[in-house]
Amino acid sequence: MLWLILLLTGGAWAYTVSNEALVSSGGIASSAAYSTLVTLSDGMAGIISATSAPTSDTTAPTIASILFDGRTIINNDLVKSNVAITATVSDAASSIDTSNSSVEVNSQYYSFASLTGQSSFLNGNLRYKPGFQDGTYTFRIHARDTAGNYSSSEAFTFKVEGGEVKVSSAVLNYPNPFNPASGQTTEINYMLNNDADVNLYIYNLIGQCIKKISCAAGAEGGRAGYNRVTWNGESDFGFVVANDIYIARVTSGGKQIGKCKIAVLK
Amino acid sequence: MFIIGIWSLGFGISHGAALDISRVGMGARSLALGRAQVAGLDLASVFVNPANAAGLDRFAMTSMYVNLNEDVGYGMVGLGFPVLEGNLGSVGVSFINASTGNIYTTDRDANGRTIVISNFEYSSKLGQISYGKEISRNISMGCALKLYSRSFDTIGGGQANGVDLDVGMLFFPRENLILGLTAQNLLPVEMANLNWATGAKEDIPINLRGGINLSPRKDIRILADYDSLGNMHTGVEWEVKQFLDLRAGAEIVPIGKASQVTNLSAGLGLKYRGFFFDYAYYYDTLVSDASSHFFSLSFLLPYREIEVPPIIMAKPEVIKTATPEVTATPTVEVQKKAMATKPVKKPAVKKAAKKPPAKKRSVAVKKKKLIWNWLKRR
Repeated sequence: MLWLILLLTGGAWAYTVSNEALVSSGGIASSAAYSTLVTLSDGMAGIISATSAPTSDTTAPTIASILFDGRTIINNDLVKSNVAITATVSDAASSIDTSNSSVEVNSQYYSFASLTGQSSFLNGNLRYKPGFQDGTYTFRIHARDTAGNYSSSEAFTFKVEGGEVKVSSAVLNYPNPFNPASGQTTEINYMLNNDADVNLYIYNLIGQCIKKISCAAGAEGGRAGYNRVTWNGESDFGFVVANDIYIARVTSGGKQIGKCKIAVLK
Repeated sequence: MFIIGIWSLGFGISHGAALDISRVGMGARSLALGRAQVAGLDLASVFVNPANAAGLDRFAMTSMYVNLNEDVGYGMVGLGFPVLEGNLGSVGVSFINASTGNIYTTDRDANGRTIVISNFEYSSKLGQISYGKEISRNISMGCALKLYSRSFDTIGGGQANGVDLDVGMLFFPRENLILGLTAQNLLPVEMANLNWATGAKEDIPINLRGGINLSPRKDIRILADYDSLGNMHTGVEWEVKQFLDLRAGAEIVPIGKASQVTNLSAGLGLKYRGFFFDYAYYYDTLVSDASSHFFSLSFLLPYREIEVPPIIMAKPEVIKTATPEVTATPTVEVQKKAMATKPVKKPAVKKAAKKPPAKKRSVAVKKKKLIWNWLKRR
């Protein structure tokens, strides 16, 4: 692996270019593709893998996915302030016109060109990591190719809530009731505002803890956004629990930040 | 030592089996004492170890309420009374209801997220009839029949009923020491326990509990229990004033095969005539938000004061007779009648006998040696 590191001192830009990046398919003028990391002084960053521009076409660019820290989110989800947003954008024949393609955040537009330092590319992953303040954001991506075809992603909103770790909205489990005797498990879901070490304690009806599930910060169960923690109905004593109501307590730093009632019925 | 010996017989931990909700503890006094109660000698302890009923010599009532862990409403009411002034032992009856609501049935939406469909309630009930009797000067024994009921409200198949049996004993080796032992939920699953409408049968595990109640001083009481589920309970009670008790306790609770947690508790008891108010705060060290406040209100019928016949009887009445009074000359017949008539007594003139003041004696003052400490104290 050979890395070429370029440091651009004009303004506050710095980026790296890798020759290991993607090779696009479909008759491209150049077989080389590049992955570029662009870091702005205000914390914005982008990665792009690009190829040279092909001939003109009539097909609009495709925005295949938009991932937040590698995961899909839906409207009104929580994300952490320094979330990395990665969009996969491609065009079948032409290259993406980065000057006229942009990331839109609360009606503010950031051109692909300014984020990547590239004038064009055929397909690639755009990485955007601006460092959000607390608030609600509307986000979408607009892509235009050099042939003038245009497409936009669906606009959606997400929220950033800094400060102490907390659970937003209700903690729920599915299915409820569930039957562990038949091999069924239940998934405990909750939304965190930040990455954090989280412990789930499952209590029986008379207030005794019968199960502890630990989730590391950043891992499933302990990361900002929607979490899914699975419980198979076994206690830490090694038995499948009896029919009853159990209370799952979501805790972080020794404090309870959410709870839900799980019904076991065999 | 005999308690430890019995534990080694193989009553293992059965945390996979159904729950006996009375394990929450009966009465705020017990909760403040770290749930140590087997030799508790109060009415609430009757429903943990039925042998505690043996010393009950008058009507008593107790209750407890707690919003357990801020999730489960848990209420208990119990009463007890002697049968034939205790000659046939004493009986206790209790009812417990633990219920919780806002339990959500859920589904997935188009995004794969869990959503609420509806909600339901759940309740777990326990009715108990306890009986205890002294079988010798320093041993009491008792038994209890327990009726369990569970309901998942609207969820099909989520109803269950069951029955089980407790036995217990108290041993008074010294005036200031009581040993207790109880075996809870003795019936095997084949005989009853919990039968669910789904067809499932669940066992409520046997729990063997032993405990001591030691009074190193007249105003200090130390209680400790250990059970075959691995729980250890201990507490100390100090009678600061005649109307005030202070209590503190701790319990060690297993939370897995190789781990345990120590939870702390504290509380107080206030007494006024036959009424008692007890409070306990139970601190959950794992999740402090799961800590709970327990409240109890109890009533103990005061000793019934009755008037008994005086021991020294009054002197016999002094009766003075009087001659018949004839006011007119009677006819012969009337005269005959009058002659035949016995002399008419004048109304008896009683000399006020000097009765000794009626003595008030308590019917409860009996030869009972094993009377509850609780009753003595209160």
